[in-house]
Amino acid sequence: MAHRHLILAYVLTWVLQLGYVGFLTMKWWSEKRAARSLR
Amino acid sequence: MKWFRWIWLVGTLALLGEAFYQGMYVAPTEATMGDIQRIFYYHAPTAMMTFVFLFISFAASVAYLFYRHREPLRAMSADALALAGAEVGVLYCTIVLIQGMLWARPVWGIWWTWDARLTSALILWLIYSSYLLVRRLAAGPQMQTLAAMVAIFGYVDVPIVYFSTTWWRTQHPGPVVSSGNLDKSMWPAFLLNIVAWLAWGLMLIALRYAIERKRQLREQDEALRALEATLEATPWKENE
Repeated sequence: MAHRHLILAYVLTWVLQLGYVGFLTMKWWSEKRAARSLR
Repeated sequence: MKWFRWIWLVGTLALLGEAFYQGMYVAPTEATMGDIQRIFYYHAPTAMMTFVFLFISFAASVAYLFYRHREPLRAMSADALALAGAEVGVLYCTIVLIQGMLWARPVWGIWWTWDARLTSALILWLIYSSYLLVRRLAAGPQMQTLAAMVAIFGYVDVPIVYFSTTWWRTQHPGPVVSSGNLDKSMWPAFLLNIVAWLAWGLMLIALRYAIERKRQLREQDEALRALEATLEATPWKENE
């Protein structure tokens, strides 16, 4: 069980980190679109 | 500067890969806990980086309050940095809490206990989550000032989290690194993870800062255009 928790902790770490990267990517594109529509 | 960003990204990913390899395969298995102790190699560095990124938010909030009347443009940059630091700090703090629970279950037999370290860390997470909520929900020109105050007062909890294991008797293990109890053979994996997670976090902060600056500049542009449109639509009367 210990080993399973070790792997799960690492997987969840990356799920959260990459989820945040996804959130930033979406924000970046929405800002880019908004700036383009202003022009 | 574009090449620098790519070098940073590739370097960070290489560091994270090497740090993972060192922590999982090279560092020796701890005698009492076994393999589950390896969580330490990314749990402790992530916790340390939480403090570092929240400090960035704290310092930038102080800078915002200092510059907000003197140099508004510099204050806006400081505000963007405070937001970036707090957001990445909350992300790291969330990860620390989850990793801690996954370590506690096989070692203590419970997911959570209300001891000083765990409780103060949860309070830290709640304070900076409130900071992000204030920024999202509060409206008007006072929002940034209010958020800066939350970030500054919230940082008081960081030394409490850090010293909680020495000030009180806690179920959480006491300081391993600062007390010199970490075995020499464990240092390379530990240090590599610190550098790797720091580099990764700084990259996220830089990206979040750039996005926030873009939003601020767009809002300024929109406000200017609205002002111009109002001025054009106003029927000025000569010699009034």
